[in-house]
Amino acid sequence: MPNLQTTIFVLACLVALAGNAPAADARQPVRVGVLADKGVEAAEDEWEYVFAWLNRAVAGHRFSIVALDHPELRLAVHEGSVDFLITNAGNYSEFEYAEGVSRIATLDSPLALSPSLAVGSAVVVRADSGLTELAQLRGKHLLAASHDAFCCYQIAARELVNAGIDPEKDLGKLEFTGFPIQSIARAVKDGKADAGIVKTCLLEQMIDGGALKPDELRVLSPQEITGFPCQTTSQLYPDWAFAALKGTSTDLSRKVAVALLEMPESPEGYSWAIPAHYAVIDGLFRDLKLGRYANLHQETLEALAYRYRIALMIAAAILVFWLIHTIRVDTLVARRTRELQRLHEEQQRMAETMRERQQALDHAGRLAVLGGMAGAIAHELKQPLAAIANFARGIDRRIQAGRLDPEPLRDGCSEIALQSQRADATIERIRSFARKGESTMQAVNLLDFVREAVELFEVAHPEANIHWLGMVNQGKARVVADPIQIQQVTFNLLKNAFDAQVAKGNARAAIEVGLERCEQGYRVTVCDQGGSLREEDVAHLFEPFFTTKANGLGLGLALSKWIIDAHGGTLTLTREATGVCASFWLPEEQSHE
Amino acid sequence: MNEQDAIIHVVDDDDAMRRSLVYLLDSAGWRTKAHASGRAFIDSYDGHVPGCLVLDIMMPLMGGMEVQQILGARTIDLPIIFLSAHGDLPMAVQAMKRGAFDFLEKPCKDHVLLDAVGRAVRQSIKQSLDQQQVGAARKLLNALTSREREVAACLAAGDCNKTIARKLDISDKTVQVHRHNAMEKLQVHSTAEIARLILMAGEKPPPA
Repeated sequence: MPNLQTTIFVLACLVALAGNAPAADARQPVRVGVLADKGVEAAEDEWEYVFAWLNRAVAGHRFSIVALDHPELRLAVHEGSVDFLITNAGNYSEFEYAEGVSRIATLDSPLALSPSLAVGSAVVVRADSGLTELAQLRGKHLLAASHDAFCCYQIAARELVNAGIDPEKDLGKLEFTGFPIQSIARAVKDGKADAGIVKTCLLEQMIDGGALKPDELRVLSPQEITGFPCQTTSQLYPDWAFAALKGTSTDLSRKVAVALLEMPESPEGYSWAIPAHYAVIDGLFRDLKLGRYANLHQETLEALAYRYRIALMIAAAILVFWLIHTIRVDTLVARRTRELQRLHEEQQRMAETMRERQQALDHAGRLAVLGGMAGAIAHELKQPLAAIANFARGIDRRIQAGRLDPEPLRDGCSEIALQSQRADATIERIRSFARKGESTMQAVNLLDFVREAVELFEVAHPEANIHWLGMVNQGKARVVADPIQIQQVTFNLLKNAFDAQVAKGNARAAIEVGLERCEQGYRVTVCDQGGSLREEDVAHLFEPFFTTKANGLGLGLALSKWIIDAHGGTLTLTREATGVCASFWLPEEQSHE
Repeated sequence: MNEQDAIIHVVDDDDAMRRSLVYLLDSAGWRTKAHASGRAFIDSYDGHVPGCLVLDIMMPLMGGMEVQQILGARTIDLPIIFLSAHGDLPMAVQAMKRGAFDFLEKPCKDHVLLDAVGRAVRQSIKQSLDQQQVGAARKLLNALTSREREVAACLAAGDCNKTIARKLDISDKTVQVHRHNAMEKLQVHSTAEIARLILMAGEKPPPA
């Protein structure tokens, strides 16, 4: 919530200004922003001497300290709500580039070699640590003050980068503890971290102050810098800067600069010097990709790819795996789908084939029966046709011979008409019998259809002597059946019986046909006197294409059995003394009551 | 005896077929007689009038072949024209072997049938005439005494009187008397004629 914070801050300032400014104070207020990364109070304490001097040295101006943390300071500078600022070299360099602030003095610390070589970072480790150089920090736990801390992070971070370690990626853990940095030293001493980044000379100050023993901590890869009293891991950078904002009047800036340079050394030994050269910070920021080089983070794809190669490789591997998996799953699904589809189609095709076969078989059954009837049919048709020819030629001969008595001529003509009618009736009967159609199962009275089949047979074979016994028991024979198929079977059995008798020269013997109720069903029996069957033939009777007849196809009984089986019935043959009894049994219609 | 007197017997179990055959034959000028079965024909046939038999081969009860067998057993020489709806070759061969006059497949062309009928009738008439001649010869020969017949047989064999006398152990005179009587009874004028009569009667010449 920077806006809220800003608002609160601005309000606070206004209240402070209004409250603190005496009505008689005609001095021009000058606001000096101070980076207070150790807290507002610490900052006010630290810079009190400087402000006291400024208020005394620069007439007509009242300098007030505005202690701000990094974001607050950045905002204040950006908005121009302060006239000057005091901040560390790193921070200054950032503002110089971004906001056009210009340094007017550099702090001259008592420990600094010079204002330009004043501050560095010391990476401290426990004295008994096995770490000897920065490169060994890879994967270790490192403590620092904050990401914005110049002395206590950024400087050391550059050294890490130069040692080949990206502090934000390659460390096991980078922990920002905030200020004071003494706590970092203590934490490292206590073994809470592998190493810590502190400002140069902190270690020496703590040892002098008794807060640390000299043999407890040491500085990692220390650089000896002649004249610099402290051990440092990094090179040295300029000290804090006093800078004027872009909008601050040059006159005021000059006055302040003069005042600062004239400021007597503070009790702690601080004073101001001619501004140092801060270009060295540029290198640091470039290495760390901070400040004006922050956009360096937007690296080339290649560099990014290289930096994130392991993650990319893992991601790529995951992607590849995912792709393979997806493709595999897709392929499997597609294959399964295809298989299922194929199965489904196959089933449909099979069902279709079965249905077609069933129809074909129904049809074939009829045709086979027709085949059985063929002799009779041929006879039936040939007779009237031959008769017609004879009558016609007879008439012709009479006319040619001049025998024109009308009576015999008319006789001949009416005979022709009669015989053509007879042929037509025969054809119609055959056609209705052979007509292709689906099996139609329906509740029927078996008696009617068996009787019809018998009548049909009698028409086709007038010489046959069929004794229709009718239904032995009274009542209707209710079955669920395809009447035409049942007629086929009955016709077949009659034909077999008659053929057997003809073959035995026994054509006029009685063929007995009866219907009786038994075993929750009805049995139709056809008994002939065509002699008994041979034992070895009985076993093969129901096989397709087995026949004992000279001109038989051997399909009749096989088809009959198939039809009866399909009706849930049974077809049996029994050998009698003078012939064979063929019978089929069909279950009675299931009552719905 | 001529063709107008011949009777064509039609035997077919199919009414229409039978009637149409009768109609056709009648139209061609033949006298016809229809029979619904082989049995009906056999029972009614007297065997004296020439003609022929148009016989359906496939009939229930008594088939055409059976009818042929019965006629053969009774030495009835009526020519048989078989009609078959089936064109059964083995059956045709068998029927022809047993002396069938012809074997036609139904439906046959009218002129084929009528031609066959005509030929059959002519054969029947010829047979009938032959039969009459044989009968006459036999009647003449039967009128001879046994000695006259012996002498006639020797004459037919070409023996001279002396040889006959020696063969029969009788006198020449007696041979001459028998010869005279026999020729008178047989109404012939030469020994050649005697030989023809004896041949016609189907009697074997006596052994030489």
